[in-house]
Amino acid sequence: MRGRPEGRGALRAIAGTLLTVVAGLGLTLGASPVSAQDSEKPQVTLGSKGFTEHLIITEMAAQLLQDAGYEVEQINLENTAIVHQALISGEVDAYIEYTGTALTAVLDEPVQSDPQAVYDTVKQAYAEEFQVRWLDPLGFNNTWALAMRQDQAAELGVTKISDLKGKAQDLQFGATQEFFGRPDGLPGLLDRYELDFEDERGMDPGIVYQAVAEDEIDVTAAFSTDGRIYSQGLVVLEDDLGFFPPYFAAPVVREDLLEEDPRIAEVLNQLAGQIDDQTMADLNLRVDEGGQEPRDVARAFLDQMAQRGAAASPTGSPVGSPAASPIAG
Amino acid sequence: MLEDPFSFVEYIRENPDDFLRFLSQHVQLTLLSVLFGVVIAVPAAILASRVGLLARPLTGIASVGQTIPSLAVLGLLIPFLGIGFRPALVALTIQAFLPIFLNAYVGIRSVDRAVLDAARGMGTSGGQLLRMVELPLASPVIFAGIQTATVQNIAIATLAAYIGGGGLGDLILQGLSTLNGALLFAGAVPVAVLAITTELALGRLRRWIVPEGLRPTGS
Repeated sequence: MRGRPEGRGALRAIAGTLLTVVAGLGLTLGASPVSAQDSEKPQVTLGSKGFTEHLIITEMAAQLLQDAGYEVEQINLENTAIVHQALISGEVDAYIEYTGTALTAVLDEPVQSDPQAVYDTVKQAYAEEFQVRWLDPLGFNNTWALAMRQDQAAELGVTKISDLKGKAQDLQFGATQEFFGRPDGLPGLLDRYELDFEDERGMDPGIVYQAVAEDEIDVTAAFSTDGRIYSQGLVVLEDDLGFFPPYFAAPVVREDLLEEDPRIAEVLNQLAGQIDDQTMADLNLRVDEGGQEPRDVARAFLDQMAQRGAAASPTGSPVGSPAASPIAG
Repeated sequence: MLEDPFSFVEYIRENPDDFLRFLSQHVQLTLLSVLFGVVIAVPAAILASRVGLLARPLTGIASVGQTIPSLAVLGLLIPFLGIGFRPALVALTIQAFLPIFLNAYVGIRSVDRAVLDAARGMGTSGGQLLRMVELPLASPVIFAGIQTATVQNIAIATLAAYIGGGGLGDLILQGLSTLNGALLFAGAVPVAVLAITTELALGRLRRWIVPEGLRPTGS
């Protein structure tokens, strides 16, 4: 039998390419530079989820720990599901999680809208189920938000999500695949607001803004602290029925690490209440459109924070004030 | 989250409309891309076998094209074609081109010169030679290329989910991003089943298509 000689050659070529890519990934996933470490302090492995905001705040945590003399290794784990598994299995000591994500995606609990209640719920559940401690929230609430082009929203007279009723069937919805799969994502949203879009498309996070700016889609789900919402001329629709749970970011740390060195909690809690929504959106934009590195943006912020701290010591209020959460009403 | 490996069956049963939509998008992407691949690649291979000057550049382009990862092809097309089904189809057609083109080219070129000389000696024209001698003799290799392209594109079509192109990749990515095993397997298992059954079915079909004289004797 004459096989498929050329097909095999092509397969080999593909395999070769894959090997190169995998090898390249291995290199870039390697450890970040290590500062002078004290030998008696434990090494801390931080996980990150691979999107701009998370990379910035993980850098902040890493640099604070390094400044305090800890050796820090950072691992990029792409998404919530994987980084959570890594935390539970001990391959990661700590990472920064969002309260709403922990509540719905990790714990599979029903959606709640009160920020303090959500924080208390996840804090208790993580302590009992995973032996993981929630530290103090950083201050901002990166909730989901529906956004659309300003001119189209004005033309249709849409300012809140319930205004979409009766208009959605002529509109194209597009968002990340994660938004389609989450319990607090599209299916629940459509149910709550009784909406039905003309078309629904899942796509890579990297092209969502381009797609909406270029009219390929009309309505998208974005992170409320994503600076590109504003820089791309989009407007956020008010979640008037309070569907989206609050997503306040806070470090989650394995108890065994905190037992070994309780000072780690103090170091990370220096960030408590330091970043409001607007600040986070600005920091994100510096990376997403300003072309700066998350590491440098984090450093600049920490330096600023240190200066402010020298002037007036911060009050570490746990979950942010209502003023810091423009979306979750 | 992954406690019950068969929870995906439940998902499919509870969401038949969604599942069928994804499945039909996936099948459309695969079939249309292979169809376009054949329509473009086979004539290109015939041209390359006729015009010696074109052979090297065409095989070169095809080989280099294949080494670019499919995901990169999708990304490169976005500025020109935007997002959705269309760019996904174009990317898959490009991916289908190489195995079909190279197999067709090699198949036609490896027809025994003695056979060609005999045919010419009997007075066949260029067109007849192609239709009645070269293509039939090359058909097993050409068909093998189409088979490779089809099975390969069933797998690659999952990447359409990155650019709003739909297909079973939507379920895979939704499952991956939320560690939802039911969603993940509701996408991945049908893709695997689709690939295996297609491979087997095309293998059967090949026996029908290949001229009688070329079929392997025995089992």
